[in-house]
Amino acid sequence: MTVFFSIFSGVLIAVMILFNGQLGVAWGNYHATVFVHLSGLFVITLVLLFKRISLKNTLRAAPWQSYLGGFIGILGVVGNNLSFAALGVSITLALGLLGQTAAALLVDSFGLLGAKKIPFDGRRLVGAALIAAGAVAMMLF
Amino acid sequence: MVAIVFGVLAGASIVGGRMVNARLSSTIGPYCGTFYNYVTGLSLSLVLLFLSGEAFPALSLPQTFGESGMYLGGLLGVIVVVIANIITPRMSAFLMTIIIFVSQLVSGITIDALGGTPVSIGKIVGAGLVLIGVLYNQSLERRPKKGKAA
Repeated sequence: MTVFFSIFSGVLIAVMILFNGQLGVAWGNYHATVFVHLSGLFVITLVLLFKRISLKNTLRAAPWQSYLGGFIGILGVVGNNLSFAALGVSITLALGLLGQTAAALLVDSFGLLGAKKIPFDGRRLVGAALIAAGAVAMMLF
Repeated sequence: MVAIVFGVLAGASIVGGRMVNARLSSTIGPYCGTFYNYVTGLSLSLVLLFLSGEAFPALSLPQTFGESGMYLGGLLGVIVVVIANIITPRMSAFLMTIIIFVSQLVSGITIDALGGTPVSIGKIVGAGLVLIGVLYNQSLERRPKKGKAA
């Protein structure tokens, strides 16, 4: 069942890139980003109501910086939309995997964003290079 | 070229956003964490919209089923988060990551093909390379380098 959910999740992510990208093309990227966040906020509010989860005492429970993750998420929507418009869904996803791999390497090696510092492992560059080569192959051939 | 850079940045932002949100979620729970994630995301995207001066789009009701899809991206984003919250504690992160990535790439190529971009050899070979790279790096994370791990 968890495997099925994982597969389903991957499909949804790809379809989401398509839908958000289409909205970006139709509305312009900034209007699209606002709508994506507004509709997402609406849906998560429904989820909270449905699961009867209260927001009481949650606004000051953590350091204020912890609440700013949404700022970073904007780059995700805008970046995917710009990439989608020029390159389509599959290459956008491949580039996204490259970005995730590179970011994970940086975060671990320097202990960024409060992560536990993990000594740099040069072998991880091999994986990153393979992903980069794959993305290039998808664009060129 | 700009599109390539932004595609990579979008992926990097997933890692950054996920780390910040994970810390918040560990205190107030994943659903409340996601709620604030959208509140701050919406706030800044409104500021950016204002600064951009982007012209208000011509709105029209969707005429066909296909046209209505583009309004559902935000919904799908939340469903992805909810699914992640359900399955993450129940399966190995390694397996989950690999399955989601394979599924993403296969779906992406399929969607592009349905949209009229033919499936090329380069796309299949390239996606294969991407997956080998992901698989290799994920396996390194499972078995850290001997002697150097803290």
